[in-house]
Amino acid sequence: MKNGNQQVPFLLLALVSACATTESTSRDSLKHSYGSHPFAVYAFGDWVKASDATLLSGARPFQRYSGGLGFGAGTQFAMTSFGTLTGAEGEVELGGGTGNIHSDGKIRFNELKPDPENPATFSITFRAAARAKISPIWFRFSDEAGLRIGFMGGASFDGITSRIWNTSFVSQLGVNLVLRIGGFQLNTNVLYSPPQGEEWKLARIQANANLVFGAFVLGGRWTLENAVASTATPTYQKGLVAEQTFSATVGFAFGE
Amino acid sequence: MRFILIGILISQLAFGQSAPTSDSTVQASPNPTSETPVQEPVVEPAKPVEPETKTEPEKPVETKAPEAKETALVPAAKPVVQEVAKPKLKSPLEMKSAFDYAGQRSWFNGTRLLGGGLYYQGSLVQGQGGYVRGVGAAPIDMAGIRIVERHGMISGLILTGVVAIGSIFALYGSAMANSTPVVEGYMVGPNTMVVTDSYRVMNGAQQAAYNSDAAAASDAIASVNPGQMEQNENDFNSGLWTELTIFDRNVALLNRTARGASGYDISMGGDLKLGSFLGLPIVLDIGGTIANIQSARDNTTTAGAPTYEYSCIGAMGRLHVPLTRFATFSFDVTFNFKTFAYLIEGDAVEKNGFVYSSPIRANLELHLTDRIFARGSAVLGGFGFNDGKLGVGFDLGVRL
Repeated sequence: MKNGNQQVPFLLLALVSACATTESTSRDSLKHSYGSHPFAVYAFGDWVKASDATLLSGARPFQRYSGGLGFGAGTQFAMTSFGTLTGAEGEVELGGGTGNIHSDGKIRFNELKPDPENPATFSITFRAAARAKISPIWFRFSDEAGLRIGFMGGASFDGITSRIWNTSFVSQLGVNLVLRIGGFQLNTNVLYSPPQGEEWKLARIQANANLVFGAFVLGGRWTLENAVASTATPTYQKGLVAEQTFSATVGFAFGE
Repeated sequence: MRFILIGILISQLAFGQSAPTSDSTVQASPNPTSETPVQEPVVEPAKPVEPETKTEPEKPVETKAPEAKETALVPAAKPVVQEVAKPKLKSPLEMKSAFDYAGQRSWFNGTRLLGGGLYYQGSLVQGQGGYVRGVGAAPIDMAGIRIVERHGMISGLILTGVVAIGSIFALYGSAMANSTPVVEGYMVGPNTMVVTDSYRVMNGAQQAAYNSDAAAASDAIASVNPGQMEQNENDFNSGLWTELTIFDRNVALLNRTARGASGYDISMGGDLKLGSFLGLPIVLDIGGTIANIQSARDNTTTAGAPTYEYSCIGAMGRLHVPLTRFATFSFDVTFNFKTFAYLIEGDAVEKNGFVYSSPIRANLELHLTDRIFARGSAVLGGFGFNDGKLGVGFDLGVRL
């Protein structure tokens, strides 16, 4: 039995390798965001580790768990006169999860205090983001291998019902690195959102990486957000909320 | 080579003329109808073409369409094809890196790219005055980041979206306007009306004319910069441009104060190549602009609005005149529709902290290298030079 357990990672590796080697690779090794494919569907799971701090209560840690399904797309469209690749990518995610589970065991839902009117412990998560990409640096080692380094700019919308703050579209700027070797591709983004918003000033740093083996997608994402209430209101006492979100994705890439 | 010479000889003997030029032959040979030329409908009906005419050089077939004639004269002449090696740039797929691609194009495009070709500019902006201002206040610092896309797809996508939304509103408005005052129909009772619609169906000639106009419009768009389009078949040129400036006092390098401007200015439109000067393109940009730039009140003044705000919804034009390949002079005029507020409210507009001016701007852009440029600007945002109506700006940026 012990030997059987030890064989599981090797079997998974063999399966992934088979996916990668049987996948036909694109003539343009740098074109798409998911290896040879422009689209992907995936399942994601989020773990949020956070704390809120008010003038009255001080810092209070809480956690949140959620999961759902997402659709991603990304490709290069054209090349500038300077050889810069231009393209776009984005994703839409929909899911659900818990409310904010505080360290005292109470679930606080979209409030800095327990909400007797709304004891629901389930929250809805919706994310949508779109980014334009320009990659002034790229190298094509072969038809199936290449490296691309570029800049990104766009906006994201995060609607999480258990969140304390509300923001509309948040602009993002960042860098993108893509490494492709045959059926394997590493796609990494680091995005920064400068402080923005009216009622809450939100700043965000986000880093994510996708590993693509043929049509098999494995991803990870880390997000650090700091939200500061601009003014005290009857509902929201002036305070600071810091959230770290750790996400994992598993998906399937498709399209030509 | 031997086959080619034999082919030329045969064609001369058969048709009594030299072999067609390589261009026309290359165009004609892929045509699947070349094997059955007599079936062409453009052949004059009064003189039906007999199959023998191909072997009778004394009686060449008279046709209205020269293409059909040439097609008829090239039966099985594929060996005659002489492809002239046209120097072509490599496809991007054959390039090993971005630097290879840029290198095969030109190491210094300079101002020539205004005439066509997709590229981006990103620059850091430092300046003072010209847009947002307060009555009696010192000129306000204008620092930010400017991103420009020329001949790209983002402009096309945004404009397509704007046009689509506008069309929906126009159709809705048209439907509402048509449905309210004029209704074709008849009453069948005191409270019931049967509404009838009328349709106009195009006949064949009208449909052909409509299609021809659409094709001509499409060709006109595609021929904005034919020279540039021929330069590389992979070039992208939408003929559109977008310019976005985000002002934020945090990117001020010299004088970072709380009174720095924050906001945005976005313009987009299309460009027209008016002509050439020193062999370089003179380009006119025409488009629309939306802006909202705000600043905190000047602490040196005791009176006035708590904040100052420049707001604009308008149209703009910008003329680029290249001085050399290293420098361009441009002059732009913005017509702010909100300027009409001055006619209604007068001085009260600016006393309340709002500026609805229609600024004019002159720019001198220097291309230090093909990828690095600097730009100096002078902006006049109102009549006179007081209160920071006259502003200056400086850009340092890269082209990608």
